[in-house]
Amino acid sequence: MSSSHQEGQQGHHPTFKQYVLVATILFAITIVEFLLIWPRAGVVDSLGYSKIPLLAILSAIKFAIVIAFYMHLKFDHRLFTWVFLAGLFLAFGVGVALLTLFLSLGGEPRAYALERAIPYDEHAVELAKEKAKERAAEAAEATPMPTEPAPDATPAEAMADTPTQASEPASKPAGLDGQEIFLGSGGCGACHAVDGVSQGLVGPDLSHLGTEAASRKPGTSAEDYIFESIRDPQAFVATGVDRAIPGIMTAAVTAGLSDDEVNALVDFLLAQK
Amino acid sequence: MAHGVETAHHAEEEYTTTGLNHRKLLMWVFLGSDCMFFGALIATYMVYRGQSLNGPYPIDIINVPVTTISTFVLLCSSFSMVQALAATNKNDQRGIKIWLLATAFLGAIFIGFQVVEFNTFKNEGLTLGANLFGASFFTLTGFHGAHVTLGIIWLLGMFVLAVKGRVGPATALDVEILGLYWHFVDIVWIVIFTLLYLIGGFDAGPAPASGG
Amino acid sequence: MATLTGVLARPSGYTGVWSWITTVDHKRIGILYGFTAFAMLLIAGVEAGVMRAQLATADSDLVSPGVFNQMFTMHATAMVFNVIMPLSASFFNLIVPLAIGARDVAFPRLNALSYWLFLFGTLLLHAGFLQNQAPDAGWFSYASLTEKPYSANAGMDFWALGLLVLGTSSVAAALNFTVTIINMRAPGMSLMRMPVFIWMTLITSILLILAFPVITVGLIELTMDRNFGTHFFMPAGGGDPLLWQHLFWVFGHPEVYILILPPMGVVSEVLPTFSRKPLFGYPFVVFSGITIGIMSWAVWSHHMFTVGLGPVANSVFTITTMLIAVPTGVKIFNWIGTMWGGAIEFKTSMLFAVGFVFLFIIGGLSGVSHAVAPADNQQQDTYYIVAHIHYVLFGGSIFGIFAGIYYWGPKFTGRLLGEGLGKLNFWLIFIGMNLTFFPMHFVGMNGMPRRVYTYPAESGFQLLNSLSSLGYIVLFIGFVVFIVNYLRSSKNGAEAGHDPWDAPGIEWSISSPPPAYNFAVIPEVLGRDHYWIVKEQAREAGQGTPPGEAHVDERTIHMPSPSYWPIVIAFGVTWIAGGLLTHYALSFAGGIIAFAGVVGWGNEPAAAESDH
Repeated sequence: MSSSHQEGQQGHHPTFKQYVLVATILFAITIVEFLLIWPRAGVVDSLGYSKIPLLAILSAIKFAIVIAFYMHLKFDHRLFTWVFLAGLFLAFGVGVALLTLFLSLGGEPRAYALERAIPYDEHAVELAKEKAKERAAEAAEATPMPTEPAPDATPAEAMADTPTQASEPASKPAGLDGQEIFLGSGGCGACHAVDGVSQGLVGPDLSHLGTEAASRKPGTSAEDYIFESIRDPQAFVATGVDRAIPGIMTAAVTAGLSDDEVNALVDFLLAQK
Repeated sequence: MAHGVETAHHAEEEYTTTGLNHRKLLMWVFLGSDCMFFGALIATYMVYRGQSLNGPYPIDIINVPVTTISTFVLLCSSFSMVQALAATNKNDQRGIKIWLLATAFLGAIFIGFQVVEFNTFKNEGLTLGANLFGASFFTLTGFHGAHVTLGIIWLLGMFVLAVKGRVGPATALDVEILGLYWHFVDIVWIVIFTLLYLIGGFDAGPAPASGG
Repeated sequence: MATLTGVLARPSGYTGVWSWITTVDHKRIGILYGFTAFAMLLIAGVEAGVMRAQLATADSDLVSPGVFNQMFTMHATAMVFNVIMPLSASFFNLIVPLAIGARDVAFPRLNALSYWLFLFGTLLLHAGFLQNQAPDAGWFSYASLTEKPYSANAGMDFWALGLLVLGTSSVAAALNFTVTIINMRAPGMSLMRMPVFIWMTLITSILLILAFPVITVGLIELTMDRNFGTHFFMPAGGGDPLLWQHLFWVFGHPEVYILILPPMGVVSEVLPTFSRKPLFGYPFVVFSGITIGIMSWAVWSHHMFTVGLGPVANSVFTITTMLIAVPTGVKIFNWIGTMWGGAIEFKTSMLFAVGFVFLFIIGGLSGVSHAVAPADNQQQDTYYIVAHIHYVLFGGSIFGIFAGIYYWGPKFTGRLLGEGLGKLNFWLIFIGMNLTFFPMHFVGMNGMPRRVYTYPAESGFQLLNSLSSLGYIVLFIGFVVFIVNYLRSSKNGAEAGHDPWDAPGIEWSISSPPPAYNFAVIPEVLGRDHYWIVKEQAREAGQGTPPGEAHVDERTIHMPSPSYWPIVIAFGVTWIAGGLLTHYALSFAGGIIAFAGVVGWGNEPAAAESDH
């Protein structure tokens, strides 16, 4: 039996040889674990799902050896074991309970998420690349443009530049990428859909805003209309715009954006023809 | 605590109701608390396991053989930590310095492996925002890495004290408490290695709806 | 502050603002906790006043919906994390070492660190008001409302980071008290001789230690979602908002017991003293406390009955929630049993304790009514829930704390609080509390949703809401009466003497206010009601009441020295969090300050060789 820690502490500490033995066992178990799952060892295929309990048991043994010998719980006061195991078992219990709750949910909770998933930045870049290529090709077919984007331009630049360059190349605020703001700090993409960029369902679809904006508010240019709709969305709401939750889009939503950032967004949205 | 050597420094803490040292008890209770911390992080990873909507998935980038090596390194550091404590108890001044430094060094190698791993993953497109796997993987292993880093700083602090000759049987408890923290970080890694690498390292795409 | 310093003045230059900043004395830290938390109580109370003014009439537009959102969010967050928890912490600090016969807590400097982290965390949490960006997503801040697209301003960042700092403070304090109670009891004080308040402190501390890491993870993930591009709780990125709810309530339900167990402990001390009887069924009270502590981990999903967890999960959590009512009922039975046949003396403290039992029964019963999942579907997010939480947290926690203030306050000020004003204080708060919250049961059952800034006139909620608002005014006057009572008695209240209530606890055997070292001679504990036993023995020996304790030359008692490292570390840690909101360079600077603090702390002996 484990005896009290107080007297003759040294005597109950394992010796150097025992420590080496413990370390060897730990190494051996780790090697076995590795061989179990290493495809070239050829064991993993025959194990199937039984590899999971096997690995869990082996790891639990390693865990127990470290706390028993390296952390001296085997030789130490039982109170230490209790306070530690309380946390350990509670963490285990709560974890198992959470997994059970998530896995036993009726229905298909993931389907909801999958339907509404926004492609991530990397994918957005891929898509933007393809789109930019398509546009460049279309533009080249229709009217040969002298200022085609250089082939090595980044896709985002290509996207933002192509449509506006012809009309007003100077209006783009330097260094700010409208699409990046749209998906990132602005958070617009969570609610608004733009073909190939985002798929939000809450707010109006902005995929063709570049063509629609000019006719939205009589007497206001497309640019000013979009600027106002971002800065002060409730000032004017065009008729016939499809909004899932009227009133949710307020000036507070965009208060965190600087005017330059809003201008970058305007340019990006004008490009959505 | 009959350490054989009385010290003025710790004389005040001698009487306790249970006979256990305050600080050692504090460390054990804290480790119980830290179990809950890592438990919640691991639970997040497990709940989101196989739920990423797009790649890169674990099977695309997790490199089990390399991480097995870094796991060995961390296990070695636990061994050198117990040697540091044994040397402290024996007042083997040279041993104390060597083993403390060795432990910190092995810990640093482990962190080095982690830095390289994170970099590789980043280059392969796994970022915090890439998918749920990226978010939960980096958060969990990142906080473990932060614990290891803290342990290394603590070890180096203890090494400085050892160089000044202020570590010996009288302060064995300080080394022991440091050791408890270090071994805890090691056992957390045992769990992470098993769940994220050995078992979860071969996950691909969204898992087909399975019963468990 | 200056009067306080005078009250607790130590000889040999332990005075002045600096001595409070560097103090490691548990009594002074307890007082700092108490005053800070009471100030927060007033602020959170004013926030409640704004809400009641807005809701007093139908279709009111006194405040905008946005301001209303900020008010209910900050009222609840502050009441939970900045008022009730630190008021309990104040009692832990003041009472625990005295009641277990110790000279201080196990880690005096860690104790100071806990307080400064609490203060700075509170400031960080409220800093959002300065930029008109106060948190506004409710105190449990459900995702995905808290995510960037829906809470675009920095309010939720202040909330998450402020709570992270407060959590660090709470865990540090809880670790300290756990070790103190396990390790620093006077000789003879076995676990089953500990006062019930100490038992509840121990259970609360363990719950804190285990529960806070879970919310820490949730807050970290929320912060990362908002600032570092992860999608833990964003459905659009594959994340599941439900995970936030689970992480929050895994913490949140033990948290509810963290809020109520310490006042339960206070009441378990006050009732026997004023009934002149030992606590009825002491082991049952202790073990039901332990049972509550364990079971509080198995009921969290009853906050989530309406999210669609499925019939199996809802049934399981319905059953566990009903089971946890059993140990709570056992305690109520024991309190009533304590009063039964006792020679009850209705001092103000006793009135608050009896009020606690009365109101907690009402709150407990409404609690059981929404333990039933189908019934809860009707009650979820209505004012019925608001009525329930205020009956258990106001009628429960705040009443228990007031009982404690009237009971233990004289021990630290040396003067009794006025009984006349005290009784007025009790009746105003008791009537005001019921007038405010009882009508909420009915408006809630009739379907008035919580957290909505107004209601239409034709809903018929007008009358009951006006009554609630009227009740708020009564409550307000009640608190003013308390402040007046406190100020008057601290100047010219009656001398308390060392044992004004003829109480059973060890803390009453030493002078009021206690000396810095608490006990000149550490007592040998004779039994559960130690001081009653001592007094009884003295009476039998014909010696009359034993005097307050003998004084000794305090230079022979080695006390921990003041330290300024705790406030340095707390300052650094708060800037690490605050920097995430402004500029990472500030975080880095905060990290360096905190690191410097840790190094300084480590190199400084706990007790200086030469006293200051």
